[in-house]
Amino acid sequence: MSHYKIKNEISRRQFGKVTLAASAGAYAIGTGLFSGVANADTPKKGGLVRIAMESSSPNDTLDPIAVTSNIDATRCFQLYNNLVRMGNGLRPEPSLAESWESNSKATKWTFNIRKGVEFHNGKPLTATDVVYSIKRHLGENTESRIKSYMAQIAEVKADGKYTVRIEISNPNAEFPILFSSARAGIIPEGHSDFENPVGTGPFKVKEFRPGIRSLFERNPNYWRSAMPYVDAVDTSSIPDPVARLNVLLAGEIEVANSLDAKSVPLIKLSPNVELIVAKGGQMVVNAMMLDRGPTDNKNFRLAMKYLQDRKRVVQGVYKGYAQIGNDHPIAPSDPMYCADIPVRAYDPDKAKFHLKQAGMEGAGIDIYTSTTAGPGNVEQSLTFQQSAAAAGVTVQVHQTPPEGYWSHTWQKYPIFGTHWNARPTADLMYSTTLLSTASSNETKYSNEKLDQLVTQARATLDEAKRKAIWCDLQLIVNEDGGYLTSCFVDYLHGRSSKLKGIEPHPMGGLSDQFSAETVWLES
Amino acid sequence: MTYTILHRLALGLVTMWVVSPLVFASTEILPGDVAESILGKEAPAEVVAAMRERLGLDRPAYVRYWDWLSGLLVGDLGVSLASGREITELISDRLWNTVRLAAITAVISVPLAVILGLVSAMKAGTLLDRTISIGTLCVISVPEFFMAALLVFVFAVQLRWLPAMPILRPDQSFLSSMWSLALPILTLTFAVLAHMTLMTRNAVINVLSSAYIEMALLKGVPNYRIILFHAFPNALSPIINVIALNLAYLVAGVVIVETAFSYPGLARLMVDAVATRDIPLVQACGMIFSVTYVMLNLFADILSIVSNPRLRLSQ
Repeated sequence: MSHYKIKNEISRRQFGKVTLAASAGAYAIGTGLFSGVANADTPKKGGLVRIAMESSSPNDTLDPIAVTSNIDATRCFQLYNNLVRMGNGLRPEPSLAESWESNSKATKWTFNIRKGVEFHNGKPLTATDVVYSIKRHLGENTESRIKSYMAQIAEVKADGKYTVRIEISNPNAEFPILFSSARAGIIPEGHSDFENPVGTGPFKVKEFRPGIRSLFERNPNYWRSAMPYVDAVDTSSIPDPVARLNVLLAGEIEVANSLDAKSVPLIKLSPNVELIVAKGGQMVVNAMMLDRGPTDNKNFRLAMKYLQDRKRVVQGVYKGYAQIGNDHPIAPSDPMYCADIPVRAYDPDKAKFHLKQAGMEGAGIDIYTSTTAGPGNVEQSLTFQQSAAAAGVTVQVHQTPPEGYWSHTWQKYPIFGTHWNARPTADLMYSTTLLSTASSNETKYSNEKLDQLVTQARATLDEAKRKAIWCDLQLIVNEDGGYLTSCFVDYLHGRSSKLKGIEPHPMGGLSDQFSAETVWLES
Repeated sequence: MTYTILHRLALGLVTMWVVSPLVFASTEILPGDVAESILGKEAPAEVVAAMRERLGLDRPAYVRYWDWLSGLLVGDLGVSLASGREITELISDRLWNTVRLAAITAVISVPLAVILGLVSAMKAGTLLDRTISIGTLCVISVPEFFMAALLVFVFAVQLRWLPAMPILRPDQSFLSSMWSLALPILTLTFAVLAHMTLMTRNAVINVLSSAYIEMALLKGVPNYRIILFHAFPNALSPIINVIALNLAYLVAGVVIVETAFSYPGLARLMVDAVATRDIPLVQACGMIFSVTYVMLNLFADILSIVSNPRLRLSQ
């Protein structure tokens, strides 16, 4: 056993090198892949990859604009390509757009479309296809799930066969990232039949039964040379996490997504299964509402923030599979994360001081949470109860029914549990939860300065300058905001040790990590 | 007898009619609705309201109930709210999968239970009898989700004899679909075996204490003949009833087994539909389960009337 493990470790490290080389090579040069790589690690052709995800339903769809679940997103990444790919380091990479540039104000964008790409039906990709795909997101009556983000597009038009010009209503330096969404897959002009979808992606549809499974076969004309390596990819769902892991352990699937941190020891004991750890911005936190007492008092909020024992949460609740958070929604894995703001330490004395300032010593505190408020939220709240007791603060943790949690508990109590999946950019996280105009401003945070700074950051094309603005933005929320962000929870997945070429993606379920484009099976 | 059967049929219809508002009402009290579940928690209120209006969810409950019931009466189950597909089309495949799973389990578990029950009755009080009783009670006492995980762990993960996940394909042969269904069938068999075995055993033992059995014994009829031809036919009525109950359980109560094995049956469709608040689909599944329950019970009633001369001739 131990011998096996050691062998495994080595091959895993080598595999890391290969995939790095692979992604760099593919995007920079496009050809001559793997020339310098040892034979043992050369991708092998053929085979079937079976992926099991957590949920599917009869309304599974292959229409990119209607993607709602992780399984929809995964299937769309198997079938379609995007203009831009969100890289594993959360930076945009070229995909169907070979390159892009903007004017100095970041309001006029030009995307240069890759030449020689073919759709599954043989039609060559041109700018008009891209324009058609984007226009499906625009207008009052669109069913697009990213309608509100696409609404910034004022004009989109084709300029010649391989150039798309887009004008947006307000400056946005990170605009291209919008096109990396699973919902922004490119389809041929005029196509509207999503029972028979057509894309440019690594796989094409062979069989699709909503709520049951999909079987997609290799696209032999795929534009990334040699890829995909496997013949077919089968995507289905096994809702129960124990069953999902068991089926993976039995060797009947190659990938099981979203596993529980509790099952990590079992995975480590199994020589035929490996863990995929994706560090990303998944927020499982308690939120404090600023429009009501007692959480409208800044001193009270600071006291709560000092009562979090972050290390204990990371170790105790998540067995180490989490990144320490700093009471704002930006994770250390994000390029905009500000490491200069010191992480607030667990300090019962300071907490007592702030409680005294607030005139709320010995106050009783109620947290409302549930098992649906993100993995481990209840356990986090119970840990908080323990660490708060040290400051003489009594915390009551109320568990409400998981069914309908988002209507009967969320935003209904001063402190409640909440869950956000990773967003591609810090901007999107703030736009969703912290701008005074945000639709899900759950903490009811309203700060003109924050709104201004976000607008300013969008207009700043220079990344170093933008990051400095983002540091200010994080500091504001760190000190004044309503989030008790103890940590960001890692996404844990399992894979068969025979499956190579998967790289963990910080975006979790909505990323393209299970597109099966780069994977191969070792016999 | 015809009158009795017609009477039971009429009662069955009345039951169905009483069940329909219950099914409707229980879906009404689920918190949240399909608009919220599709659009997610980030959706602005006006978008959610627009979707509710488009789907007709803003109408009062009694109007929707009447719409639904009048559709049901002409066999129209309506349209799924989440996917916009015809419910009949969504359900047909799934129903067939569930019926197939239930039927294979029944074909295996019913004879097995009756045989075990008869053996127990013949050997009442012996070690064999006690082993059968305790064994079947043990397997029924383990919750199904745990039994499913345990069986998968032993037979699929450790021994690798049987597949952990049933995969059904239209072009599969009967044997290979049996093979892939082995573990769900085993789990379900464990869940229904004890009831039927113990009922058979006790009913037969009960009859064995009557005077005519003593008479037969005194005449020198061999033991196996007494059990098979004298006692068993007279014990049939309660046995049929308990079998019918368990068969109804196989169709309607497989929610946990279908979920644990991610088996694409009706019960899992219903669970998925509850998650997305696709109410018409939940209601359709609920009604199908109720009809199955009522029909199987009705069938059991009729069978026990037919098998029992006293009931058969009383009318």
